[in-house]
Amino acid sequence: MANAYALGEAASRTTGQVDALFLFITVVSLFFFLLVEGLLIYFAIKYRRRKGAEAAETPDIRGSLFLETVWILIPTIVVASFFYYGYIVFRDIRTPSPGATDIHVVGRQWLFEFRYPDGSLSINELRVPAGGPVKLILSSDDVIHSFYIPAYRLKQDMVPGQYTTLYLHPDKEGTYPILCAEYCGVAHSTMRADLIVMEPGAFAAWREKKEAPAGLSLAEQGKALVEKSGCLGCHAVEGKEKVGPNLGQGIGRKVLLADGTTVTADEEYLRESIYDPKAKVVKGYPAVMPTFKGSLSPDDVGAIIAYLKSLSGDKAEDKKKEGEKAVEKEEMGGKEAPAARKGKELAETLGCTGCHSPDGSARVGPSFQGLFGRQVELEDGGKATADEAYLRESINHSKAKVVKGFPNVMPEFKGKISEEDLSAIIAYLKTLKQ
Amino acid sequence: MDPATAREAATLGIWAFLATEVLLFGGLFTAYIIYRIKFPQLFYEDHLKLDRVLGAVNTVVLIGSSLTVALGIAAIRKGRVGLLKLYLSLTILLAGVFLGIKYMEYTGKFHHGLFPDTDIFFSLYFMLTGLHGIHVLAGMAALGTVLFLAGKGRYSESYHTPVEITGLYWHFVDLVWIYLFPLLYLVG
Amino acid sequence: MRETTRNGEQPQNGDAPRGYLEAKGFWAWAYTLDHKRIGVMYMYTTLFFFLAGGVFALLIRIKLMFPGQHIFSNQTYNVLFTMHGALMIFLFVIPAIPSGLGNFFIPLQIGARDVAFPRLNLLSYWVFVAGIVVILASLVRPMDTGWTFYTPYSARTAADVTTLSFGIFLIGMSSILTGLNFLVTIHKLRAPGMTWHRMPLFIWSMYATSIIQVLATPVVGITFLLLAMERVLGVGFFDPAKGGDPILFQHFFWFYSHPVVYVMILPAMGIISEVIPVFSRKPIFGYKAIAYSSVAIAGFGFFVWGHHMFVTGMSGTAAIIFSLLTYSVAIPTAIKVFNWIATMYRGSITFESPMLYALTFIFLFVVGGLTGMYLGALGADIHVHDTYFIVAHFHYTMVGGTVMGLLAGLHYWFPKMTGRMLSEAMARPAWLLMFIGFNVTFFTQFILGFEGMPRRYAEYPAQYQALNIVSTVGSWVLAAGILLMFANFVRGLFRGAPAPPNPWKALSLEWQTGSPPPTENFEEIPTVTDWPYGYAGKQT
Repeated sequence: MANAYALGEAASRTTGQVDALFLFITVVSLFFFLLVEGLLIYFAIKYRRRKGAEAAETPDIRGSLFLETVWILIPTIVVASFFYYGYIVFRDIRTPSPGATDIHVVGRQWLFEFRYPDGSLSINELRVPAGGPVKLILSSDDVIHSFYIPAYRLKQDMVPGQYTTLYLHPDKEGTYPILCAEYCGVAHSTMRADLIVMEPGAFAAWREKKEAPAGLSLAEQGKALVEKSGCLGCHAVEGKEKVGPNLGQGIGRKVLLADGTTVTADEEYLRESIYDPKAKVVKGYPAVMPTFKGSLSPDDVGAIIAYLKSLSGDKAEDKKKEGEKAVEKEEMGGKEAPAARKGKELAETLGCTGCHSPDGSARVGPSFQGLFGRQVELEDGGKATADEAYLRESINHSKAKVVKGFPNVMPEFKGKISEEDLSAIIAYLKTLKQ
Repeated sequence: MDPATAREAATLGIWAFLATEVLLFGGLFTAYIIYRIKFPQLFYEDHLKLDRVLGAVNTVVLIGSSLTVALGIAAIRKGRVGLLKLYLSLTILLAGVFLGIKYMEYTGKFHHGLFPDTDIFFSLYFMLTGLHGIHVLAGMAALGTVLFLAGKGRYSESYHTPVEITGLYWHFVDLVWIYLFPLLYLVG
Repeated sequence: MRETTRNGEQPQNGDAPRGYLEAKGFWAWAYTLDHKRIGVMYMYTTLFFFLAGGVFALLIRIKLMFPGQHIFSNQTYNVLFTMHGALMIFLFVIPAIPSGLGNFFIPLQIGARDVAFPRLNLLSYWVFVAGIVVILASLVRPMDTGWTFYTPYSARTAADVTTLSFGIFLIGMSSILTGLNFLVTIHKLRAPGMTWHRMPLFIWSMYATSIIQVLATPVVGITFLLLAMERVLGVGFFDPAKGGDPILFQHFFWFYSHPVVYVMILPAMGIISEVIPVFSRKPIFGYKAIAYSSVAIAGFGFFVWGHHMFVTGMSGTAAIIFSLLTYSVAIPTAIKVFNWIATMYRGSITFESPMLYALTFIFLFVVGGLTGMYLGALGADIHVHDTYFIVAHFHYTMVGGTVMGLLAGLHYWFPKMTGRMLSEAMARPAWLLMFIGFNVTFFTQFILGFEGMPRRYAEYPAQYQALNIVSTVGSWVLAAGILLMFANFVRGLFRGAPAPPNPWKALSLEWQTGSPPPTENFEEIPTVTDWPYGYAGKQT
């Protein structure tokens, strides 16, 4: 349906739905606005006391049960319609899409990290082909953030210690800003990402130009973790059961718990059971599962969940998508740019400039201007020269040598960017020497 | 304000104040319910580390103090100021015993490495009993003030409103403990 | 220059006003048991923070004209919007009408000599001041959390949240003492013959407000206590690393903070219910509907807090329930608006400044209320939650609503409180500047929010700049109007024409005694035989 307020055509079906809801509420509210404010102004003018006129006589009208009834009933019907229409749109937004690609999104101060089924990772860029529904599994590593795509009219909070989900229908190609919408600290207003929706052919072509990502798909990583963490000691994948339920039953089915209640074994349930296994024990099994708090990181748990999902028989489409390649952070179109220019673009898209300004102004971390080669005083009192080795170390293991006077909040990029990108960034930083 | 209205106003006032206290503790009790449902095992294991004997003694002590304050009010309703002072003193004494036992419990917990930040159960234990303890202390101050004024001959058969409303507050403090004790110490 | 009253009578007292203002000196104020003086002290204190919070707002808007690191840093910006919100809400919008005008006029309107517990009243003021001192002490490491203090950020930030939490706890205690006092006063101290249905509607609204203050404020007390303990003792209720739930903080916080918006609006509505009949010379239409709707709003208001949290991951069922209940509060609110307008029907209306502000209240609050219709709708709220749409909505209801109501009350009751008249010649241009400035500042923000500009953004994507500039210019016009109005107040205090006892020819009891009233309020406590809205008939 054509939408009234969207800037341009609807980027997604949710845009149209939400805009239609807004339009409905606006039209109805505008009617009552004109009626009520109109009467207010009309009465004020019509019944004003005129200067010098004979003293008016006002009637002793104290109320009207009829009118009270009318103006209780009509607003009730009106708000009931708002409630119902709002509920319908909400229900549609929340309805799971079968065959949706799972993408894990982690917010941390102050960037968005996306992890794809094939195990690859991107920062501040979510790249998907048009037409394929996506299920975002959102969480946070530190404080509450919120994932907001204005063009889609969608938003969901990212809460530490919990998963929330958001379904996307990327219908139309384009680049759509993603904004953090829950205040999260000093760089909240620069915590942004891009949703890049590509026409499937272009997406496939673009992927082919990429290097194959080193490493396993997310599900393969999860399988390796399950094998080495001892899960198979109590959980068989299929066949004869061991101590606990078989793992091959997939995700999303209902389970009966020991206390008589029924829950859905969804991502949140699995995550909870790994960290707090005594919370929701399945009926008929002993409550002996150990906790993996401290031994499995949230990223590990995400990979394990991807693996468990892949074990379900009717997930053929997901397996197909699992074969899709990376959304590594790379130059678009494969242009060969001088390393420093590439490094500059990386510094923006990886979120570095959220905390480090290129122009000398103060942000969260030291400005990049003049950083390369400078003597810096460290938090622990020692000194260091910000040479190539130091910068490399700070990007990979940011907590190693924190500059004095700056907060120890920089994320670590080891394993998340390639050697080539790292060199490009350092080349860029060199150009900012004063 | 005539005396009858003043008395009614004070009574309405103290009941409204107790409503605010219910809401204040209510927040903590809500947290208790939520986390108990979330961590049943933790609550079971941790509650065994509380000293049920001391808790039970404290319960008797507080109920006893409610009895003494009620007897004090009964006394002043018959104009018996001396008896009022005796019962008020006993009440304050019993309150002191309560706090003394709580002090023993707290130091015992610290000695065993159990602190408010140990886990959610102990966070709740210390916050609930701590907030309650502050109210006991405030109650002792109020009772002490009433005792002092009783000594100055302020109260009689016809006027003893502050005694009544302080007594009401004290019963409330006792009531909160009667909920706290089973929820923290007894329920498995 | 001497102004005559509407009916042409010359003011009685040619000298400076006397009455309760007679006794002078510091201790006559600091240790007063007179509810009128306590009300005046609250009024000065809250209006001071209105101006302070307003300065922060102007700074915020200046930064937002030029996104980027110009002017001052993003961190400073984050502190500014936090302090703007916290000061305005806790030190101005919540206490101004209840503790200011309420303290002054509740005993007068019910025909009593004072509130039920005058010493508790004085205590509430000094606890309020203590809270302010503690809040100001926290400025050594100023807040950067937003006035909503969401965890985990507020539990971890370097700002001195612990001190501020204790400050807010004290402010809350002050609120509770005031609410208790008013509840008992209204129940027990009404003049002979003043049945519940002969009470002025301002009293009904203050009664409903007091119920909310008594029941909701303790919850914010325990919330901030828990936040402080999280920081100081490492208690983990809201910390996921300790098994806690950050969303639990939001539930606790909004369980108070939603009802508190009704603490903000109900007294203002009460003032409107007083002013409209007086200046329309007609009985209030639907007295019982207005009276009971206040209590209904207070009641329903406790069950809708979840509508601030629709995107936190709450279950669909919970979201549906909160949405439905949220709409139910709209009905009693709408009833009042219809009844006020019906009061004007066939009235004989004049537009002195109290009436101007009262009509503006209705006009702007309707906008605020209608924009709430979007927010109650689940599908729509997802898009505009945490955007400037919300900012615009609450400014229309809190400024267009509560502040306009407060200003209506101040202009209405200024002669009674001070014994002097304000200047209508200054009041009108001030009002016009405020009306225009307010709408330019905040209507643009609805558009910005719908277009996706999140709130609490120190800088923003370039496409939002044009409307931000417009909004900032609006804020300057609004500020000009406010300053002109304060100039009118100051002029009125020192050079206003002496006021007669009843310049507006109103029927409620506060107007049947001197301007200003004597310390004991009335020479003789009146006996009430009718309701205070018998304005019908031939107007002389």
